[in-house]
Amino acid sequence: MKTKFTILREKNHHEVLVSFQDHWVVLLRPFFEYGLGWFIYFFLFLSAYIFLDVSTMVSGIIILFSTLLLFLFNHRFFTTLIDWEISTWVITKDLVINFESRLYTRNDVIFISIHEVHEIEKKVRGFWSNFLDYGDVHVNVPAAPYPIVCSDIPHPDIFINLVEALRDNRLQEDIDIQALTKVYGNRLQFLLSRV
Amino acid sequence: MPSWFWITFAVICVLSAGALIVFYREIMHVCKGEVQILGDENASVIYTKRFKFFLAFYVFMVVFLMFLTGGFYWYFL
Repeated sequence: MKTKFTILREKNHHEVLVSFQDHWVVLLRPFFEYGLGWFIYFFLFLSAYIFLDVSTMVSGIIILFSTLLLFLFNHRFFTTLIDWEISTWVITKDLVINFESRLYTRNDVIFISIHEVHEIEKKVRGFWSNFLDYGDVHVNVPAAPYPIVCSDIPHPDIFINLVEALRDNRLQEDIDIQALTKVYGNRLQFLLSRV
Repeated sequence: MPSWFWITFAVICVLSAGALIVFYREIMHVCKGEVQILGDENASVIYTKRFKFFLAFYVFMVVFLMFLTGGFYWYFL
Protein backbone atom coordinates (compact mmCIF):
# COMPACT_ATOMS: atom_id res chain seq x y z
CA MET A 1 0.00 0.00 0.00
CA LYS A 2 2.76 2.39 1.00
CA THR A 3 4.80 1.58 -2.11
CA LYS A 4 1.85 2.20 -4.42
CA PHE A 5 1.21 5.63 -2.96
CA THR A 6 4.89 6.50 -3.17
CA ILE A 7 4.95 5.68 -6.87
CA LEU A 8 1.77 7.64 -7.49
CA ARG A 9 3.15 10.71 -5.80
CA GLU A 10 6.29 10.63 -7.85
CA LYS A 11 4.33 10.38 -11.07
CA ASN A 12 1.82 13.04 -10.11
CA HIS A 13 4.35 15.57 -9.02
CA HIS A 14 2.90 19.04 -9.44
CA GLU A 15 4.93 22.18 -9.22
CA VAL A 16 2.58 24.68 -7.64
CA LEU A 17 2.92 28.25 -8.85
CA VAL A 18 -0.03 29.92 -7.18
CA SER A 19 -2.83 28.82 -4.89
CA PHE A 20 -5.80 30.82 -3.72
CA GLN A 21 -9.36 30.50 -2.52
CA ASP A 22 -12.63 31.83 -3.90
CA HIS A 23 -13.13 35.52 -3.29
CA TRP A 24 -13.78 36.37 0.37
CA VAL A 25 -17.11 37.94 -0.53
CA VAL A 26 -18.65 34.45 -0.48
CA LEU A 27 -18.09 34.42 3.29
CA LEU A 28 -20.25 37.47 3.96
CA ARG A 29 -23.52 35.60 3.97
CA PRO A 30 -22.45 32.90 6.49
CA PHE A 31 -20.88 35.64 8.60
CA PHE A 32 -24.16 37.54 8.84
CA GLU A 33 -26.04 34.32 9.47
CA TYR A 34 -23.70 33.62 12.38
CA GLY A 35 -24.37 37.12 13.73
CA LEU A 36 -28.08 36.41 13.43
CA GLY A 37 -27.51 33.20 15.41
CA TRP A 38 -25.95 35.18 18.27
CA PHE A 39 -28.80 37.67 18.16
CA ILE A 40 -31.38 34.88 18.42
CA TYR A 41 -29.39 33.31 21.25
CA PHE A 42 -29.39 36.46 23.38
CA PHE A 43 -32.99 37.20 22.49
CA LEU A 44 -34.10 33.76 23.64
CA PHE A 45 -31.97 34.02 26.76
CA LEU A 46 -33.65 37.29 27.69
CA SER A 47 -37.02 35.68 27.00
CA ALA A 48 -36.06 32.85 29.33
CA TYR A 49 -35.24 35.37 32.03
CA ILE A 50 -38.69 36.95 31.62
CA PHE A 51 -40.37 33.53 31.70
CA LEU A 52 -38.59 32.65 34.94
CA ASP A 53 -41.40 34.12 37.01
CA VAL A 54 -43.94 32.01 35.14
CA SER A 55 -42.17 28.67 35.09
CA THR A 56 -38.60 27.50 35.67
CA MET A 57 -39.18 24.60 33.35
CA VAL A 58 -40.23 26.82 30.43
CA SER A 59 -37.23 29.10 30.87
CA GLY A 60 -34.94 26.06 31.12
CA ILE A 61 -36.31 24.64 27.88
CA ILE A 62 -35.87 28.00 26.13
CA ILE A 63 -32.25 28.20 27.27
CA LEU A 64 -31.51 24.68 26.11
CA PHE A 65 -33.15 25.39 22.77
CA SER A 66 -31.16 28.61 22.34
CA THR A 67 -27.95 26.76 23.23
CA LEU A 68 -28.65 24.04 20.72
CA LEU A 69 -29.46 26.64 18.09
CA LEU A 70 -26.25 28.56 18.73
CA PHE A 71 -24.17 25.39 18.55
CA LEU A 72 -25.75 24.62 15.18
CA PHE A 73 -25.05 28.14 13.90
CA ASN A 74 -21.50 27.83 15.22
CA HIS A 75 -20.88 24.54 13.46
CA ARG A 76 -22.37 25.83 10.25
CA PHE A 77 -20.24 28.97 10.29
CA PHE A 78 -16.95 27.25 10.98
CA THR A 79 -17.54 24.40 8.57
CA THR A 80 -18.27 27.05 5.94
CA LEU A 81 -14.99 28.78 6.79
CA ILE A 82 -13.06 25.54 6.59
CA ASP A 83 -14.87 24.51 3.41
CA TRP A 84 -13.79 27.80 1.91
CA GLU A 85 -10.21 27.37 3.07
CA ILE A 86 -9.77 23.84 1.75
CA SER A 87 -11.61 24.58 -1.49
CA THR A 88 -8.48 25.76 -3.18
CA TRP A 89 -7.54 26.87 -6.66
CA VAL A 90 -4.08 25.67 -7.57
CA ILE A 91 -2.20 26.66 -10.69
CA THR A 92 0.75 24.49 -11.61
CA LYS A 93 2.95 24.53 -14.68
CA ASP A 94 0.54 22.31 -16.57
CA LEU A 95 -2.77 22.30 -14.74
CA VAL A 96 -5.41 24.37 -13.06
CA ILE A 97 -6.68 22.25 -10.19
CA ASN A 98 -9.84 23.11 -8.32
CA PHE A 99 -10.55 21.36 -5.03
CA GLU A 100 -14.23 21.94 -4.34
CA SER A 101 -15.02 20.52 -0.93
CA ARG A 102 -18.04 20.61 1.35
CA LEU A 103 -17.56 18.45 4.40
CA TYR A 104 -19.42 15.14 4.03
CA THR A 105 -21.39 16.34 1.03
CA ARG A 106 -18.98 17.25 -1.72
CA ASN A 107 -15.43 16.37 -2.62
CA ASP A 108 -14.78 17.38 -6.22
CA VAL A 109 -11.45 17.80 -7.91
CA ILE A 110 -11.35 19.40 -11.34
CA PHE A 111 -8.22 19.27 -13.47
CA ILE A 112 -7.94 21.64 -16.40
CA SER A 113 -4.97 21.05 -18.64
CA ILE A 114 -3.57 24.47 -19.42
CA HIS A 115 -2.11 23.40 -22.75
CA GLU A 116 -5.54 22.22 -23.91
CA VAL A 117 -7.31 25.46 -23.10
CA HIS A 118 -8.95 26.66 -26.28
CA GLU A 119 -10.69 29.86 -25.20
CA ILE A 120 -10.93 31.58 -21.89
CA GLU A 121 -13.28 34.40 -20.99
CA LYS A 122 -14.26 36.31 -17.89
CA LYS A 123 -17.71 37.43 -16.83
CA VAL A 124 -17.78 40.10 -14.16
CA ARG A 125 -21.34 41.22 -13.66
CA GLY A 126 -22.88 43.52 -11.10
CA PHE A 127 -21.63 46.47 -9.14
CA TRP A 128 -19.97 44.57 -6.28
CA SER A 129 -18.22 42.15 -8.63
CA ASN A 130 -16.67 45.03 -10.51
CA PHE A 131 -15.95 47.04 -7.39
CA LEU A 132 -14.27 44.15 -5.55
CA ASP A 133 -12.77 42.64 -8.69
CA TYR A 134 -14.05 39.08 -8.73
CA GLY A 135 -16.09 37.09 -11.19
CA ASP A 136 -16.58 33.95 -13.21
CA VAL A 137 -14.07 32.60 -15.68
CA HIS A 138 -15.32 30.34 -18.47
CA VAL A 139 -12.73 27.94 -19.82
CA ASN A 140 -13.37 26.21 -23.12
CA VAL A 141 -11.49 23.00 -23.80
CA PRO A 142 -11.96 20.98 -27.01
CA ALA A 143 -12.84 17.79 -25.12
CA ALA A 144 -15.77 19.30 -23.24
CA PRO A 145 -19.02 20.28 -24.98
CA TYR A 146 -19.67 23.04 -22.47
CA PRO A 147 -17.27 25.56 -20.93
CA ILE A 148 -15.88 24.83 -17.48
CA VAL A 149 -17.12 27.60 -15.21
CA CYS A 150 -14.75 28.78 -12.50
CA SER A 151 -16.87 30.82 -10.08
CA ASP A 152 -15.95 33.69 -7.78
CA ILE A 153 -12.35 33.97 -8.94
CA PRO A 154 -10.50 36.90 -7.31
CA HIS A 155 -8.76 39.13 -9.83
CA PRO A 156 -9.94 37.24 -12.93
CA ASP A 157 -7.72 39.31 -15.25
CA ILE A 158 -4.59 38.13 -13.49
CA PHE A 159 -5.90 34.57 -13.48
CA ILE A 160 -6.55 34.64 -17.23
CA ASN A 161 -3.23 36.31 -18.00
CA LEU A 162 -1.33 33.69 -16.04
CA VAL A 163 -3.16 30.77 -17.66
CA GLU A 164 -2.64 32.23 -21.12
CA ALA A 165 1.02 32.94 -20.44
CA LEU A 166 1.54 29.37 -19.26
CA ARG A 167 -0.35 27.99 -22.24
CA ASP A 168 1.69 29.97 -24.74
CA ASN A 169 4.98 29.47 -22.87
CA ARG A 170 5.53 33.20 -22.64
CA LEU A 171 5.81 33.67 -18.93
CA GLN A 172 8.06 36.61 -18.18
CA GLU A 173 9.69 35.85 -14.92
CA ASP A 174 10.32 39.31 -13.48
CA ILE A 175 7.01 40.88 -14.46
CA ASP A 176 4.87 37.92 -13.46
CA ILE A 177 6.55 37.37 -10.12
CA GLN A 178 5.95 41.01 -9.21
CA ALA A 179 2.35 40.94 -10.41
CA LEU A 180 1.46 37.70 -8.65
CA THR A 181 3.16 38.66 -5.42
CA LYS A 182 1.27 41.93 -5.40
CA VAL A 183 -2.09 40.35 -6.11
CA TYR A 184 -1.96 37.08 -4.22
CA GLY A 185 0.52 38.13 -1.51
CA ASN A 186 2.11 35.34 0.46
CA ARG A 187 -0.03 32.76 -1.28
CA LEU A 188 2.59 32.63 -4.00
CA GLN A 189 4.06 29.29 -3.10
CA PHE A 190 7.06 28.90 -5.35
CA LEU A 191 9.12 31.26 -7.40
CA LEU A 192 8.46 31.15 -11.07
CA SER A 193 12.11 30.80 -11.93
CA ARG A 194 11.65 27.09 -12.47
CA VAL A 195 9.12 27.62 -15.26
CA MET B 1 -31.14 23.94 39.72
CA PRO B 2 -33.22 21.18 38.19
CA SER B 3 -31.06 18.21 37.33
CA TRP B 4 -32.84 17.56 34.01
CA PHE B 5 -31.53 20.88 32.73
CA TRP B 6 -27.91 20.04 33.46
CA ILE B 7 -28.29 16.52 32.09
CA THR B 8 -29.76 17.85 28.80
CA PHE B 9 -27.13 20.55 28.68
CA ALA B 10 -24.40 17.95 29.14
CA VAL B 11 -25.93 15.88 26.33
CA ILE B 12 -25.84 18.91 24.02
CA CYS B 13 -22.21 19.57 24.97
CA VAL B 14 -21.23 15.95 24.37
CA LEU B 15 -23.03 15.95 21.02
CA SER B 16 -21.29 19.17 20.08
CA ALA B 17 -17.88 17.85 21.05
CA GLY B 18 -18.65 14.61 19.20
CA ALA B 19 -19.63 16.57 16.10
CA LEU B 20 -16.37 18.47 16.40
CA ILE B 21 -14.34 15.24 16.43
CA VAL B 22 -16.30 13.80 13.51
CA PHE B 23 -15.88 17.00 11.50
CA TYR B 24 -12.18 17.10 12.33
CA ARG B 25 -11.74 13.57 11.02
CA GLU B 26 -13.50 14.52 7.80
CA ILE B 27 -11.43 17.69 7.43
CA MET B 28 -8.23 15.68 7.80
CA HIS B 29 -9.53 13.07 5.37
CA VAL B 30 -10.21 15.74 2.73
CA CYS B 31 -6.90 17.50 3.35
CA LYS B 32 -4.89 14.30 3.08
CA GLY B 33 -6.63 13.55 -0.21
CA GLU B 34 -5.71 16.97 -1.54
CA VAL B 35 -2.11 16.67 -0.35
CA GLN B 36 -1.86 13.28 -2.00
CA ILE B 37 -2.82 14.85 -5.33
CA LEU B 38 -0.44 17.79 -4.98
CA GLY B 39 2.42 15.87 -3.37
CA ASP B 40 3.89 16.15 0.10
CA GLU B 41 6.20 18.99 -0.88
CA ASN B 42 3.13 21.14 -1.57
CA ALA B 43 1.32 20.35 1.69
CA SER B 44 1.68 23.97 2.81
CA VAL B 45 -0.81 24.93 0.08
CA ILE B 46 -3.51 23.07 2.02
CA TYR B 47 -2.34 23.32 5.62
CA THR B 48 -2.08 27.09 5.72
CA LYS B 49 -1.76 29.25 8.82
CA ARG B 50 -5.28 30.52 8.27
CA PHE B 51 -6.57 26.94 8.12
CA LYS B 52 -4.93 26.14 11.47
CA PHE B 53 -6.34 29.34 12.93
CA PHE B 54 -9.87 28.45 11.82
CA LEU B 55 -9.55 25.01 13.39
CA ALA B 56 -8.22 26.39 16.66
CA PHE B 57 -10.93 29.04 16.77
CA TYR B 58 -13.57 26.42 16.03
CA VAL B 59 -12.46 24.33 19.02
CA PHE B 60 -12.25 27.43 21.19
CA MET B 61 -15.77 28.56 20.29
CA VAL B 62 -17.33 25.18 21.09
CA VAL B 63 -15.71 25.16 24.54
CA PHE B 64 -16.51 28.85 25.04
CA LEU B 65 -20.19 28.37 24.20
CA MET B 66 -20.45 25.52 26.68
CA PHE B 67 -19.10 27.69 29.48
CA LEU B 68 -21.05 30.74 28.36
CA THR B 69 -24.44 29.08 28.50
CA GLY B 70 -23.66 27.14 31.66
CA GLY B 71 -22.33 30.29 33.28
CA PHE B 72 -25.29 32.41 32.20
CA TYR B 73 -27.74 29.90 33.57
CA TRP B 74 -25.86 29.46 36.82
CA TYR B 75 -25.40 33.22 37.37
CA PHE B 76 -28.74 34.68 36.28
CA LEU B 77 -31.23 31.91 36.93
